[in-house]
Amino acid sequence: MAYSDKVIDHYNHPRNVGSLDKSQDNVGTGLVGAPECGDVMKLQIEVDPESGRIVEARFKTFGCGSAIASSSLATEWVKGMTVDEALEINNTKIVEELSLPPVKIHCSVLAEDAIKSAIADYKSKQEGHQEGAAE
Amino acid sequence: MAQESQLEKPGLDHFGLLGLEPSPSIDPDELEIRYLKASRKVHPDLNRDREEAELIEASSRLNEAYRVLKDPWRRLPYLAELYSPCILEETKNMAPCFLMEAMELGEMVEEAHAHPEKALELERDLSQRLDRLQARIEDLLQDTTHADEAARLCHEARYVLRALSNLRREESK
Repeated sequence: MAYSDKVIDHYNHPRNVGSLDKSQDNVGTGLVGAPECGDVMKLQIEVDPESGRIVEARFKTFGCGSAIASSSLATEWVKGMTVDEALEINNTKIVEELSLPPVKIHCSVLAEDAIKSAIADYKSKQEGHQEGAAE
Repeated sequence: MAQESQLEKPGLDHFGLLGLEPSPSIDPDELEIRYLKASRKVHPDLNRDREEAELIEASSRLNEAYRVLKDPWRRLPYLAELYSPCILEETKNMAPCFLMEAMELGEMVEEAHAHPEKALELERDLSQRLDRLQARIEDLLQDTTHADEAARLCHEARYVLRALSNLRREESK
């Protein structure tokens, strides 16, 4: 199976690898895994509280080239988006952009899940924060 | 002739195809002998009186059964699924604490790439962990009642196997 040029590019030059401080209130962390292949993916977003936009994103993925490329692309895309815009990203868009073959579709699903899980974590922190402030 | 018709019985599971009862542990030598014997029964050169397409279909099912049964990390999930259909899908959401551990495992493998002296130790740890998982799952699959826990541990093993194969791939470079 041949990887597309875009997958190879992301694999060789992954964007936004690393970690953000997960203890920060404006950082959301998503951690997801695919037991079929043993891939695990961490994706983090940092949200500017004023504008509600994602200003920074990082990922760390242990998995195949397609999983790395999917998460790398996801971090590139979410930067500059509002949280709600980022929720619109679905795996089909990732499949199209990277020309993933059918056997690798689950990698793009993993990246979509990672974005959603990071946003859910961010939102739950904000809710906790607001409740705390109201008390 | 009874044996031959059994091979094409569509409802037969991988164990049944090789004349075995479903079981978590299998003697590899016995499995191989059974596989070779069964293969002869569907070999086109030895069965010229029979339809070739039929024989090819039967031998491809046989090969698949052998491929799954000889590898414990294919056999055990297969058996869990046989005991409880869809159990692998139902148990595939791993607990967050396990995913953190899987992440750390990945980082340890990365670190071992930079420090080869750590690689051997890590490889031994991971192999031992797999052996323990295998023993535990085999124990759970003695009967059909713990298929869910067995399936969860099979998923866990998949991450450990992944880490181990990444480690070995790097070593062989």
